[in-house]
Amino acid sequence: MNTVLRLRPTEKFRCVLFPRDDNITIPDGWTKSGIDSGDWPFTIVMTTPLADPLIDRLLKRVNDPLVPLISLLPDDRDWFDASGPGCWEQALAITERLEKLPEQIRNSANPEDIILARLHSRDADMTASYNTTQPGMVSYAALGGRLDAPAEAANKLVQRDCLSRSFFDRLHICPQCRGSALNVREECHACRSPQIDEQAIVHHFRCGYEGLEKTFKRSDGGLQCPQCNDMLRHIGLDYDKPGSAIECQSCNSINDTPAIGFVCMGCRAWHDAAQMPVRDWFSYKMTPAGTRTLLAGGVGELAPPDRSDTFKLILQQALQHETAFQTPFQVLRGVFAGDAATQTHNLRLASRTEDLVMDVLRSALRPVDTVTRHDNGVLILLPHMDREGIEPVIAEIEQRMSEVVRTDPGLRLDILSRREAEQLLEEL
Amino acid sequence: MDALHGPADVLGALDWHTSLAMFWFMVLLEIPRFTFAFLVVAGQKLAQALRPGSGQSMADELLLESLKVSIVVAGHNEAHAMRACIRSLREQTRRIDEIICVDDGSTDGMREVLAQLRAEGLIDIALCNQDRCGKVAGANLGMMLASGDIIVNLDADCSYDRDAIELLIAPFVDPNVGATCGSIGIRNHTASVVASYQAIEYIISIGLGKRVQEFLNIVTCASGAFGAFRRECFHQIGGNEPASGEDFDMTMRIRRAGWSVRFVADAWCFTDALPTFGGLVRQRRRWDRDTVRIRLRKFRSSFLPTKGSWRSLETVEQLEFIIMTLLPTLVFPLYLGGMLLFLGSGLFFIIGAVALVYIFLELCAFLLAVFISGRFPARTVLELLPFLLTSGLFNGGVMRLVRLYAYFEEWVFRTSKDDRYSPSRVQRIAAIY
Repeated sequence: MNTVLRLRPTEKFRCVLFPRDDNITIPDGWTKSGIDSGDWPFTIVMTTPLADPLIDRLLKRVNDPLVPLISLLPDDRDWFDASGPGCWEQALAITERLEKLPEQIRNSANPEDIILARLHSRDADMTASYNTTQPGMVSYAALGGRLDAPAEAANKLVQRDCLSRSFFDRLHICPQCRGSALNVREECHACRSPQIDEQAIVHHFRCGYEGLEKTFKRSDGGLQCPQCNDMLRHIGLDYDKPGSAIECQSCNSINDTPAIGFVCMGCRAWHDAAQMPVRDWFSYKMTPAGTRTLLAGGVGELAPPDRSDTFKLILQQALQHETAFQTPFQVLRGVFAGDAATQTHNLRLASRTEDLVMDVLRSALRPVDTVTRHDNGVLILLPHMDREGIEPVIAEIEQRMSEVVRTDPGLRLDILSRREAEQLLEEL
Repeated sequence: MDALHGPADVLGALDWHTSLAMFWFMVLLEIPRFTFAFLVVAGQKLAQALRPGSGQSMADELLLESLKVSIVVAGHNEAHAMRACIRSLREQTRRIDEIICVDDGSTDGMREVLAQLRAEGLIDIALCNQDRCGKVAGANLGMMLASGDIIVNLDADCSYDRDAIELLIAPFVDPNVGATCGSIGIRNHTASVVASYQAIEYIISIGLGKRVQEFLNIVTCASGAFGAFRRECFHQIGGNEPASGEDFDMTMRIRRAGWSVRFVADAWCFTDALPTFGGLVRQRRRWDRDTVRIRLRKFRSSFLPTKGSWRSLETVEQLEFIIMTLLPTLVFPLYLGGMLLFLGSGLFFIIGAVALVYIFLELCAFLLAVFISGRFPARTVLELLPFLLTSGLFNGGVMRLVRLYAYFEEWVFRTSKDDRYSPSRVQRIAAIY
């Protein structure tokens, strides 16, 4: 509490002590206030360590994601902008920056504005860190736990060039509850029990018997073949162990490798490894454009630019050109109709296959052609191409697909008429 | 002979005792074989026509339905064929309770293919030998672990009719049946002339030869590509023994253990024939060496009634081999040499005349086999017809000489011990007769 503060002499900064403790002396330049006093900005000062649910309730009551929260005692939880010695000074710096923000930013409920305002006021990056108290296992200390889905909002800001991002980690997520608190375990393929053992496979050269090591009787000097009763004394001469097998202690099923299963610690759901989606987490930094946007009043209600908008724009232009200059164009609509088995049993394989299809399409088309994903498929726009020219293109795509894509995604390409292209434009 | 202008004139100009002197080989060793096959198959067809309703009873159907069927597919470097094989199995009309695949030390990504098939739920168990141990060991591993009442052993490079497994297991209603095998056809008969010859050979040998063996209850080989085994029988005889020809060897042991082996003509499996002459010669040399090793060494006790294991039916089966296969093979060069000695350049007329007879016999046998099997479309038959002009000479002449050579090298040098069917470390130790 011996911190030297650089307070502006004429101003008093408001703070709310929680729990209220009249015995605590606050530094000069600060004045005690109440949560419901209506004064802004103010700083919440934790006078004693509180449990997370209590802090959460308090912040919900305050209902202002920009309000600084400090703890007088050292506390490294994400809630706090500062704690321990020096926390008053940091609270002051944050408050000063908050005061300089435009009014509409201070009152904005838009998560993107909140992120920009917090990063600016805390003079911090949105750095990802592991946090086992969060269902997603990752949190951003700079946001103080005030936003429910900060990564989604941050990614929109990246699209607007307000933030830049760098990869942090890739985590599996539970398809049911979206949490990442997962137990990864080896299991039996048949009954999914984790109670499995690995055993060597023994091959007896002389009689050709091959089986699990436990089927061979152990006797003095070696193993005894269950088929011919010969003694196996010398590995490499009498027998070898060409591999191993996994035997389930629950159902006695045998396989060469264990299955991998995930159990969600949050919702207790079990999932096969092939069905597990992953999520990429990033750390973010504010760009100069982000600062400009913030000081200009924030992103407001504008939606970020959508990739399909580009396609829509080019399609619109192609329709206009055809009307005005009779320059033909073609639109292909592709639908992934195939292999239900792959899609059901291996979502990740299906996803990778679709990515590969996109690569193949881009390689088979001209640089001026446009490809974009749409619903369960793709849209392809080929400017300056008549009906006769499209058939060889489809043939070329099918040829490349058969050469490159081993798992058939069942992509069916349909040529759209002008009327259908106009309808598509309306849909987009 | 000078007045004769061709083989047909030779045939027309000879009286019966001269014909017998010239063509004794065909008259004594070839024509009876074909005639007997004709009579048996025609008789069966007639009996079938007269007794059309002799199918399975309800009790039989219930029994068959209750049997648990396991399928084992073991292979080395079969990644390219595995998915097609498994798909054809998943199309079967009969429920398959368990599919076990064994990757025998493959280097072509077969293990990954099996893992993928297992992930898709198309197979139940995938097993892997890190080092190649041979087809026998791989099949033994899978078949020993199989939990089905009936264990079907298949090759990965084959595909199967939708009702193949259902028909293949039907004879197991008889508790004495230890193993069954089905018909094997060639699906790449247009690949080469040699493939066409093999297609004709398979059609005739399956359509007539195997049916005769079934009639006489002396089915010689439940093929490793398409054979079903009663689990109890398989464990009783101890599975496959190492070295090539393991399917033939196991069939002989099954019969000697008192089980019956049945041939199911209507259960069809299709495979690719070797497209090159060199490949065919290597394959047939290996098969024929195995025949000598297994029949005349390992099971020579069939000829010794004093042995405790002697069974009259087995001796009949061995005699059938000696009279119908071994004897014609050994006598064939003597016949050719004798004719050359007596006739000089006139031999070529005789060979031409023999060829005409072969064409006639092959044509009759082929058409009868096609008619009996009812499995081959007209297009396939028409595509194969031109090759019938030479297939008789090829199979009866050229391949017979190959067989003679294989018998010689096995009998004199025991060449089969150097076969690369199993890895050398196994081949060296394995009990070879």
